[in-house]
Amino acid sequence: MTVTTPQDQLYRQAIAAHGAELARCCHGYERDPALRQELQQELHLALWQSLAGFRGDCSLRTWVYRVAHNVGTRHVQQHAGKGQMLELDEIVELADERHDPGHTERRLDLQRVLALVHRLAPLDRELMLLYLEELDAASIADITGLSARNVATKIHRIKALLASQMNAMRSPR
Amino acid sequence: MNPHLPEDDAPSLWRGQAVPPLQPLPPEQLAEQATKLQRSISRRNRRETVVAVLVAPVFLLYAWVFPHWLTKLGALLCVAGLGVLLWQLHRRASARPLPEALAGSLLGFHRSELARQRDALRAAWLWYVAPLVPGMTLFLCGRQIEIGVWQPGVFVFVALVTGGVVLLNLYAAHRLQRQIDKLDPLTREDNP
Repeated sequence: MTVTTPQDQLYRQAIAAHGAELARCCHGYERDPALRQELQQELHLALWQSLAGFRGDCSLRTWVYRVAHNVGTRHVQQHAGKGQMLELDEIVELADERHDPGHTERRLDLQRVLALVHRLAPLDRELMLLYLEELDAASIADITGLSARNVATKIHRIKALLASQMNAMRSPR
Repeated sequence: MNPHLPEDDAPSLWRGQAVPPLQPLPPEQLAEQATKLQRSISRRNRRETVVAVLVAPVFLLYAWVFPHWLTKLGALLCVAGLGVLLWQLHRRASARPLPEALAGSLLGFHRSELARQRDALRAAWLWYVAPLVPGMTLFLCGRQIEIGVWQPGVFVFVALVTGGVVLLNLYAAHRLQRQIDKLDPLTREDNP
């Protein structure tokens, strides 16, 4: 009979509660389906291994998000070189992506958001993904380690960037 | 098509995407993956050992074959240098961050990874280059004495290559330090 350890129980609890967020997080870090599968395996393993050291100093959600984004960032750095990553200030100047008439409107919007996310440098990407998951500023500060004031400033820029990029992409040329 | 997607709609768009949620893997499978990962790390370390083990006998043979004591001493120092290099590689490979470190804040983890890479690059000359320099220098001196021709160009070439490697590593470390410097103010309340 298999013995279930507290680590296994925490892992199951974490996946049951945050499986959907984790899947979207992987989507935000890797667009290639095969590599995304690899990233998901990495994440499962890292989460399970890390939970052996979980002492309840932070919430399980904070722990899960930190592990997921740190694994995602490490994955991006290991597979770097496929395209230049930009910071929030630089990406504002970016040229748009062309419309794909084969997609539905909402899916197109999502593709645009994803395209934007995939071009961001690590820390800005983490912030963007946490914002997209609708976490409040205090939780984002707790997960990222950024000061509350810096989180507020960055979120403000992210909102402005999303608005300008989405509108720019929709405007006919 | 809606001409304006409010930025507040992006989160609902994101959260509404059709991505199947992750499902828990059986603990046995996770344990097996952990073992596989550990094995692949051990294999990589063994590859480095094999390279050193293949190169060392060549220098031992030189120490046996070449007549001048400087060449012999240089070849033996090269073997010792390879040993130091290998020890450093193993020591640094075993200093991998613990899995719990992944649960550190994103900024903290990112910074510590950059700092780890920076330190490795800064110290590269000490543990990759320096252990081999005395042996190679004496070996080249001994060989030149043996063949009776003084060719300073060889030393200049080796010094330039070595210096180039050291400078490239230091430049890469400097670039990482600049990234670290950009991260540090982000934790301060007074500097958005």
